[in-house]
Amino acid sequence: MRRFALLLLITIFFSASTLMAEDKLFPWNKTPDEQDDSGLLRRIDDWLTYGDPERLADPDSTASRFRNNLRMTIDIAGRGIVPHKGGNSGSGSVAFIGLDIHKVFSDDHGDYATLIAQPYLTKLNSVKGPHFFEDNNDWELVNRIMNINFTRIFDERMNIKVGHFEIPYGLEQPLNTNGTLRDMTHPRNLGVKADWGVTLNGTLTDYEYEVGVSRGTGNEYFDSEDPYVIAGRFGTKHDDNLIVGVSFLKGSIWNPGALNGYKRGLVDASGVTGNVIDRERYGLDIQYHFERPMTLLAEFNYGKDFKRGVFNTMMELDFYNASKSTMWFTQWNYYSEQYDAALGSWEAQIDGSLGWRWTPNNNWALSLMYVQEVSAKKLNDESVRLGSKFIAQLRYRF
Amino acid sequence: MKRLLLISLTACLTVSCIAQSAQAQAYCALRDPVRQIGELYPGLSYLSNVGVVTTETRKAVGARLPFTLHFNELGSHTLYTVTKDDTTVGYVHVRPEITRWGIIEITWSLDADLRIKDFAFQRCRNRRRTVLESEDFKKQLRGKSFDELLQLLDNNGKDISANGLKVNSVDHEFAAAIVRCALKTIAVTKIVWKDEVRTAMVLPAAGDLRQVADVYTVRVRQALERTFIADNADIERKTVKVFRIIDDSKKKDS
Repeated sequence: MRRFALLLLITIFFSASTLMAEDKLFPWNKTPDEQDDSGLLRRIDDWLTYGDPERLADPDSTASRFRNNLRMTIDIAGRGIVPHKGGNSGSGSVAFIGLDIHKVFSDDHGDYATLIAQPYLTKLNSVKGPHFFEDNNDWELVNRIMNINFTRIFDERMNIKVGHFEIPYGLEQPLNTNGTLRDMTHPRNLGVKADWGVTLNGTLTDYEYEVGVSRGTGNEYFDSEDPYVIAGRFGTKHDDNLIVGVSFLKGSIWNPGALNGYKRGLVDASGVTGNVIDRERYGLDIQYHFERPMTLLAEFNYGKDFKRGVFNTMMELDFYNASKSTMWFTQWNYYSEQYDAALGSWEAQIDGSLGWRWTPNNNWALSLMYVQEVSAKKLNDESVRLGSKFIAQLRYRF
Repeated sequence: MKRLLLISLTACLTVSCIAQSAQAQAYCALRDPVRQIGELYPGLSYLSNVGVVTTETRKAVGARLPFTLHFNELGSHTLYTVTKDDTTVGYVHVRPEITRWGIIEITWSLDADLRIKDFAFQRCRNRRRTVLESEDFKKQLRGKSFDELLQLLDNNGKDISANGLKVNSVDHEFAAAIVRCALKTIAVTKIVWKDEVRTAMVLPAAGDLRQVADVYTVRVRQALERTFIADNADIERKTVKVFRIIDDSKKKDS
């Protein structure tokens, strides 16, 4: 509790001093005009943005070709997590440092491919991470997104993407929440957020689509137990105020944690071995942008884990200020599955969250989120303790 | 543990430096306006030109307009150059504008001389967007240069000027936002991509195009009579438009 209070105090201190101070104390509260040139970091920033002018003077040099149509940013973030369950609270943190690269390849006839590379060193400190972390204090090179999209094989109606991409399913595909506290349903509904493989993607007059085949292993590529994912989303165009999409997923996904969750609902789990879980999902997603800066998001998923029925939904309401520098959101998740009848049949887990994100300029983003479990899956009407967690993240990009 | 948590939280807080080019949004969320480019220029290819909108750009835009860019508009942006048979036929650029309906994002199509060809909303919550997407409104902007657009706004750029645009009074604020966005788009394009734009211009670099209001002056009518075509009914004279090129560098009409 003391740690929670300390974290809350720090957050209030920084927020209050930022919002109220007449003399703008912190750099994230200053406009670029008001900030001072700070030597080394300014030089790093200039190099990231413009490169070495002497090397770039020759348009045919490798440096010049590499720099042409390149966006390259260093992304640093710290995330503090204070969970609370049954009178116990601990705390942990995650640190991220990575490169965010976006490069368009062109020739005399126009653009022909787009590369996105996001390698992030990620260090856990007393936090349970995804399955590719060996323990709660491990560090890992996480490939968030790392792919190349070939855009001139046909026209905008069909591109071919190769590499590590977000599974084209549900709201995550159009929204993309990488690196933010706010997340869609991929981790819990699918068990994999991004994967190695190939997609066909494109935009039609009124519709957009992406269909992919991938390895089913997530961050790392390996083929033991022969996992795979086939997934796709077809949606209306993203510039409308009402956007509707339908998705499907069929796969055998490497996720020991998800498999353990599945075993929990079986009377006899001795026949279930290995690390992959067979999943099938059909989804409907809706985005509605109201006239004032407020957005409703909803995603409904029905499917199966092996032969077990699953129904998962998510609803979110977002509020923005006019410039979109501040965002409030509340997200509600309903995850249910059909346990063996002897263990209680359909069991549901419900949680709700309240979050806030403040982006004062293009460099800084401060996010806070409180998540409260409202209901948990139970075995044989056992009593369960509901947990909560408070998460804060500060992100700096330059 | 408390120490680790504090270090993680405060490590970034203590970093202070100036940085202008980053995007608040991760680059995986970037979307090229490929549908709009395909609709505006069917069958043509396009070439991306990434340029950096800096605080200096912001100041330069502010010097030309009674308003300027929002700080969130700084950073790397793309100008899409559309070509046909190795000739630049136009540009496409996406620019946001803050309104009371939230941020609107407009995909602008400009001709080689940076006059408005067309536009399409990439994000617009205003329910009256269909009214301003109509041909009636668009044709009032088409072919307009920077100076002509500027005349459509009042002195502070917050509203449309008297007789500036023919729109319903409930759409004045919305229409003014669209014109402001158009002006910023042309200004930013001229400043950030000046080298790319200059080489493709048909008009002189320092030139401007002004529509001539009275086409059939006495002198023109006399000239038509001399050539015996003054009463030629096959010529639809009402549709004839005449423009005057004003070349500031030569200080006289070209």
